[in-house]
Amino acid sequence: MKTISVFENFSEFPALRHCNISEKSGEEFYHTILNKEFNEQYEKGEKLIVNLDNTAGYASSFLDEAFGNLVFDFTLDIVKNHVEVISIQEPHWKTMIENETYPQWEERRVNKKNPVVTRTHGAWFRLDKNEIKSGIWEHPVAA
Amino acid sequence: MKKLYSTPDYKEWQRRRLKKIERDLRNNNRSFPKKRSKSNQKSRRISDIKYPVIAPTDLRLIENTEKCMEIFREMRSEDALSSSRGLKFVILDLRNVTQIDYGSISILTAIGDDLKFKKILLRSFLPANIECKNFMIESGYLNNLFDDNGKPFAKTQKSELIFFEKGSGVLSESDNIKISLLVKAVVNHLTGQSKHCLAVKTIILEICGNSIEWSGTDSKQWLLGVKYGEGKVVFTVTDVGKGILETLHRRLSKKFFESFKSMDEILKGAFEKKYGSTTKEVNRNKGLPAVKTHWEQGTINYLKVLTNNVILHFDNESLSNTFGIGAPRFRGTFYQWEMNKECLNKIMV
Repeated sequence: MKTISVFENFSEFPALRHCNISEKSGEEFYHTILNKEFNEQYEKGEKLIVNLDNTAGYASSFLDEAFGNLVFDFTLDIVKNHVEVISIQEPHWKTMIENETYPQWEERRVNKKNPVVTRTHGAWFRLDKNEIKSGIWEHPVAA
Repeated sequence: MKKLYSTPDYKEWQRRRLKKIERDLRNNNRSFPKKRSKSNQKSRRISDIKYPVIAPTDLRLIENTEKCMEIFREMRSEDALSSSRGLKFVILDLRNVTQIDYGSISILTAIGDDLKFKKILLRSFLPANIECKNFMIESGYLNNLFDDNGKPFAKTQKSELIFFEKGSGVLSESDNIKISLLVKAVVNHLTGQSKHCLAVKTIILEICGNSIEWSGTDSKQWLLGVKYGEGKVVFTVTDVGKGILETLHRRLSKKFFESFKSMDEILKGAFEKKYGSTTKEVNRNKGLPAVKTHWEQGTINYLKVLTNNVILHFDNESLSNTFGIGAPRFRGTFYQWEMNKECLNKIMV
């Protein structure tokens, strides 16, 4: 089991959804921290604890993009079993992630509505045909 | 006897021959003056001065919304755009103004910034009323403005009571930090303790995020205003983009719009997550409902939203209004809310 914290591992000032509208976005957090840390724990068969406390505050879109991508790449069941969100200061974020973001992104995954990336990211992990593979799965689309 | 070559054909041949000599000399880099193309020649500069946009005596956005929207529309209209010596400018005459509120100053500042981005100066006659004039000076409104002679007003010192934070393009980390510091200052004003207030930061991020992503302004600009009062703080967020209803219009059918009794009902629906997202992604549309939830929980008071032809007063629905056909519309979105110590007591952890 490993604990990561948005404040300690990423930024005190998390911002908006995508990299093309803000620095320190949910997209950036997912691609630089969350995907790799989750995969590491998943491969060990352990849980990843994500602590949301002690930042200056969130936009819903930041959390939706970060945790939603995780569901899209690893499926809802796996994420539910291997992630625990801690949000003592603002418990409603944990509720939103578990009750809205997770099922909505699972629906996207099933309907093959792929995530949007707004910057080219390095390779990341995705469950593909029951096997974890590393790759650049999405590319930015010109506006 | 020498033959006179005066036939039209000969004259044409001679003209072409001279042109060829001239061209050859130029190509051979001889000292031959280059002929200026017509487009390079300095065109005669003609002044085209339009009548000033004259503000009414009551320029309070919340109490006199329709008149204020008329002025905002006129300021941004082509008809108000003067030009002289290559400069483009709009003249705003505020001399008659005797009452003005923080909402109007916020929108005037946002329009001034937008005009500046488009390389258009905003020249302004200040109110004759001393109280109004001082209020505008203190707000920092003059910092981007030009007097009636086209000279910038002297920069005013940062006010202790009124403050604007601006941004454009991508929300940078430094903008984000500035917003957090502003929130800390608000908490300090209300409680005497300087610390983060997560819920307020969330509201500002949700609204500014909407402005950056959806307003459609050329530079994705937003303007956050804070006015400190006795035991309370007034916030405004303004963008001068398309507006929420205009954005909804572009993706929802006319039939869908006609199924509602009024436009203010449609706008309320956007705060209740009644419509799908512009991107058609099921996970989106959480921002405006989050703002409404904070109002319902009493985190913020007196929430008002003005966009296109609708003003919503969340605190008093009877004042909400859809302005009729022919009435001016506000191109953009304006939010205003207040906070006091009781609001903070509900959310501070």
